[in-house]
Amino acid sequence: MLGPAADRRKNMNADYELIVTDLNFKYPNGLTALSGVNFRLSRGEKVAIIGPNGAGKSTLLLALSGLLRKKGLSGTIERGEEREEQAARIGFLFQNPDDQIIGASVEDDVGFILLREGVAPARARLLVAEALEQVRLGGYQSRSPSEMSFGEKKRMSLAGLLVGKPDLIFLDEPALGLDPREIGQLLKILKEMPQTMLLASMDFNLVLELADRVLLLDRGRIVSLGSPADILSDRVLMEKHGLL
Amino acid sequence: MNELSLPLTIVPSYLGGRHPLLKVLVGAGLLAVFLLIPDRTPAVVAGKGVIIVLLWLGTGGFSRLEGCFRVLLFLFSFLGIIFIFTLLGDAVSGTAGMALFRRLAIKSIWAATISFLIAGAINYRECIYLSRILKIPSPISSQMLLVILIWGKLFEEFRHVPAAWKSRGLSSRYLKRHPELIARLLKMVLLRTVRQASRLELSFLGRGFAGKLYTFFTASWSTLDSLTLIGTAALLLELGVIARTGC
Repeated sequence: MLGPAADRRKNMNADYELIVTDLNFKYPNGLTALSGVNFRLSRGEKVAIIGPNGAGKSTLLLALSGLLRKKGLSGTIERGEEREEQAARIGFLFQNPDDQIIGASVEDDVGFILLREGVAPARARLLVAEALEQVRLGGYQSRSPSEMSFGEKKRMSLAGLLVGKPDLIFLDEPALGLDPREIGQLLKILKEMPQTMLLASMDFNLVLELADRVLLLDRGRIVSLGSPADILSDRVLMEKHGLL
Repeated sequence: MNELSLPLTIVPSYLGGRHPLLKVLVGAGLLAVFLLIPDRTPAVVAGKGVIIVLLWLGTGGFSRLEGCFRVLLFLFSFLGIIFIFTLLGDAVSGTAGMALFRRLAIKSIWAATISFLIAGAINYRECIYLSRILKIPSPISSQMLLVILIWGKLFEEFRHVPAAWKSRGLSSRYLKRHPELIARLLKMVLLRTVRQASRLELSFLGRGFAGKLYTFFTASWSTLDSLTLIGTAALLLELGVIARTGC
């Protein structure tokens, strides 16, 4: 039974997908990667993390997705109350798609989550086809990932997340290594996605087009949090943190 | 055993298109018979040679000539080391050691060639399928399959090495004069593979991996599979007859 305080908290948290409080992370060598990170992510919101190399962007994404080892990590990461039972419904897109591909064919890779969950192969095939259509890779099912371009592999990895119907998606440098046309395609796909999204990116055009809010991270600390237009147009702030 | 590594690149072939279970049965049968039947007479060796040629033609033929050559070259370097130790050991005083070495060398060549040819006809998806139909416990099969996956990544890293050498202006002649550089490069390749392996681990965890691998691949046993199995059995039986009668 939840008490009145817990009920109040539940109502308060219902609109949030993620609540991060005083998150800290230290590597085994003592290097601080994250320090006192606090923020809330509303349901359906798309937030971009920007910051210079080594600012802790990827580490923050890994920590929030639960993929970072617990040792050295402190603070609390709460999912919205209604979502706690489905904590596994998270998707993570790595910088390099080659780090992500675990199947020998496109359909095996994209359908991994479905087969793991015991979805019947016929139904799983249908869902894989839908996810591939969503990322403009329809008909690629029997292709080998090794024959695909970097951009195609990236979109295929995205399809692998989408079939799991995640509520929350983490994207680590989604535009890295893509040509302008591929970035345009990716942007269109990401814009159409209703999921809550937290992306680390150095592609400011993508951030401007996609993000509802921007979180500027430097040396593991949140330096600024605001609208993309406000932060990206603040030359002094951007220069100070090595982004201009 | 997957599409990632260069010597084992899967090429379309007769055996490659057959049922995965047939490939395992043919491979196991060939290995068992080739290792059990001693290579005493030229007729037996010739018979084995003919079967190897048929297997080679059935698993890609000329398109796999280079890979086959590389594997044998790799094997011969090991055999060369064993040969030196055989000469240095007790064998110098007698012929028993040399006879043992000869037997070992021939058996190794048969085993390596058969394994290489069969492995190049089975892809990663078929391996996952096989582990399921053969009911191999998932902790064992997953470990083996993950090793294959990582092995593929290691090969991929190695494939980048020549380009990395050239991009830094290092010729093979320069490397021969500075062998310590090769050790350093190998270290880098291994470190990069470990890094990629740990990323893959995260990818597996991120997708809820719980010790089991999956594939959509399925296969059905055809008449051609049965005929191939019967044909292989007949060839092996014939080899047994040759070994027994000597002709």
